[in-house]
Amino acid sequence: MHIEVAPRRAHRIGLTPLIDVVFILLVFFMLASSLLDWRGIELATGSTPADRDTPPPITVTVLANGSIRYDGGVYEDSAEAAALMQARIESGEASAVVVEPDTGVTLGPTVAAFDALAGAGIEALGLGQGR
Amino acid sequence: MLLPLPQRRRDTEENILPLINIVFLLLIFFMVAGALHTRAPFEVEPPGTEHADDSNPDNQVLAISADGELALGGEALERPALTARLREREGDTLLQVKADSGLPAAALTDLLGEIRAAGIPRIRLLTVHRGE
Repeated sequence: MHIEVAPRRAHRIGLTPLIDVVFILLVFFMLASSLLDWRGIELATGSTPADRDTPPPITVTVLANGSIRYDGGVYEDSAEAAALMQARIESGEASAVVVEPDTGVTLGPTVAAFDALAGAGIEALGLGQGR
Repeated sequence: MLLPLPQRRRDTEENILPLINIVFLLLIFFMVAGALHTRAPFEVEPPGTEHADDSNPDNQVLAISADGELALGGEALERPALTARLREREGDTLLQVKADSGLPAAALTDLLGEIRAAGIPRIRLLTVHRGE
């Protein structure tokens, strides 16, 4: 007996549903993901007990406009202040620099000053208790 | 007068293939280059730095808004609850903090002291790289 096989219909998958889904995925990833370049500052803990031999740290105050008060002078250019501090650390007079925010100073200028000092080559940096 | 016959329209699916190619490329770009993070229920605008090291936020970031609102891992909580939650963490020594640049710095150092008291030895403040 001969059974006639129905000719197979070429079945084409439509592209339109695919495009719909891809568009939705695209919109989802565009809205949900962030392209920010995240960085991190390790904040030294204040719990390490100071050695008796270790010289005291230098304390600098960050003012609201982002300038640094150090040793009686106000430095708008943090590189200048950093060079002075670096010299003191190298001579063994001080061990580290503690950045203290002045009253009411927000995090923005404080972190900027912290970052500028780190960029100027000071490695031992800490964030001090503000007033 | 003899008008030219309208050309037979080509298959529309063939016409949108370049579009699909581009959309696919965009999709792959956003999937690879973007990062999905848990978001705090409030707006946080982190401070910018130029010299800080790379650091990818994990899913247990402590977010602090400019008004001092707190959220751990995208879930808002109050200050007493925060220390309780931090005490539960064991073996996990690093806590990432994403604080708004408008937050008074004294409020942050205050809170950091409390976090350290709750037994978190390492704290990393997250910032955004600012191009030179």
